[in-house]
Amino acid sequence: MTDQKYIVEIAGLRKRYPGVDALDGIDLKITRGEIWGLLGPNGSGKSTLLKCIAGLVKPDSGQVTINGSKPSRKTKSAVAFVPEIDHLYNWMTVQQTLNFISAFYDDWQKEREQELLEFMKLDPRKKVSTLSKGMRARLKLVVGLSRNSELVLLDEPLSGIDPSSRDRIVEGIVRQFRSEKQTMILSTHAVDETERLYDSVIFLSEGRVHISGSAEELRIKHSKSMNELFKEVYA
Amino acid sequence: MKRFLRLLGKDLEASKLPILFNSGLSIVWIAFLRYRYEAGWSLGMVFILMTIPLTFLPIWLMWQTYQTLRTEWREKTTYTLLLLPIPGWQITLSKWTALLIEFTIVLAALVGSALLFFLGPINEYYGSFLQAVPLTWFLRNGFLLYLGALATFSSFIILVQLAFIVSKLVGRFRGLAALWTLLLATWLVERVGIILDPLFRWLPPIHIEQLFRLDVIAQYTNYTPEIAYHYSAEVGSWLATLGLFLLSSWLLENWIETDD
Repeated sequence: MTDQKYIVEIAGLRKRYPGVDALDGIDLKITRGEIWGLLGPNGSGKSTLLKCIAGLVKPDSGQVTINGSKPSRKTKSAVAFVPEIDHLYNWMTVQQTLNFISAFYDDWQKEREQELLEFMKLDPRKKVSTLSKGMRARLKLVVGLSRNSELVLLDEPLSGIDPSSRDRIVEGIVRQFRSEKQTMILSTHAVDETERLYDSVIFLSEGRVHISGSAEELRIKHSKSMNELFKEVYA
Repeated sequence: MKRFLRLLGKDLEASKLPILFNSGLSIVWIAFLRYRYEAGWSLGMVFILMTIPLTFLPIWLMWQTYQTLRTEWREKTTYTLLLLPIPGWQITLSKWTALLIEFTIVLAALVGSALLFFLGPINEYYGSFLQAVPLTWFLRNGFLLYLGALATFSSFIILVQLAFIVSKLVGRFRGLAALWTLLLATWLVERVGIILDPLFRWLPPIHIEQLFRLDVIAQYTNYTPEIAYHYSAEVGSWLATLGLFLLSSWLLENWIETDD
């Protein structure tokens, strides 16, 4: 039975790669309309978990459902995934990239695309191959945030972006988030820069959920900021 | 349809360089042969050498099929492709179509440059024959041969696509997995053709001499063969190939992971 309160439901999720348990029995319920922080150090399973939700990685056991359906062609229409790696075609220009990808999604917002291009200071005529790592990260965010998708998955969105621009990018993410229609899961280990975004958090460690819950309740319970709690958990 | 055309446009744009390179190489080769003909090589020898690029075309097409998929994985653009809410067959079909268009362009460059560079010698040696036989006869038969080549190469592309996709399902020895899949799939296509042969025996044979209108040139060859081509086994093989195409598309959509 699907609970309308939760957009993503995960039960007993396991994924093993040679020599390592990337996910080791994850149970989670992601509340609709919130920004979730998926926190953990490198190798804790954050990216694998997001890829399982996006349908890019098949779990060995356990189950992921989005709106009650297993990841499939149908759920891909509702999910916008921005991976950490550079996955865009190098030979395309910025505008060609957006034109190509937008053709496949009915929820693409052209005005929002233009607004984000300006906000991220991206030149639509530039080739992807000529963009710096930071500018490519911005382009990936434009691709992910130009849609009205129900679920937005951002994997290390600040990776490669210089520290002076990070606040601006975080501001861009907040501006585009529509809490009445969207849910966002943002994975990062840059907790101090993204702390103000989270309604709820998940601390992952060695493929397991270490702590999860409302960010505000955790702050009160531990009398610590998320960043301090992160440092304590992973010290 | 709009989505499929976007995919096809992307695949063609990505293949621009190989198309230009191979077309250019074919034209240079024909120009070189014309130069050697002027220097004293016989026309017969030159015509034989002209077919060399044709023998390489199937090998190049198989290599290119493998490369187009390999590049998506190497450059991590599989993330973009596999995140699209489209059926797997649209991805494999757009690559299949792009490869056949590539083949057509390179073939056109080869045939076109051969006609352009050797129009004089051809007219000189075969002028009377060319005047007697209508141009439409050449165009029709050329087109039929082209369709035959497309049908054959289509199967090559499908089998190589399957081999590549299956190799991505295993963690190790991917090259070996691809090679074995290619060999097994080829064997399977042949076996299914043989097994299903009796089912399609009712199909009327194709009379080659009628299809190619060989009567038009009978007076020049003094030989009018009667060849009835029974293709019931081929129908079974085509069905098996279609099944393998659907299998690779299904595997791509449902079982392939982006992580290596």
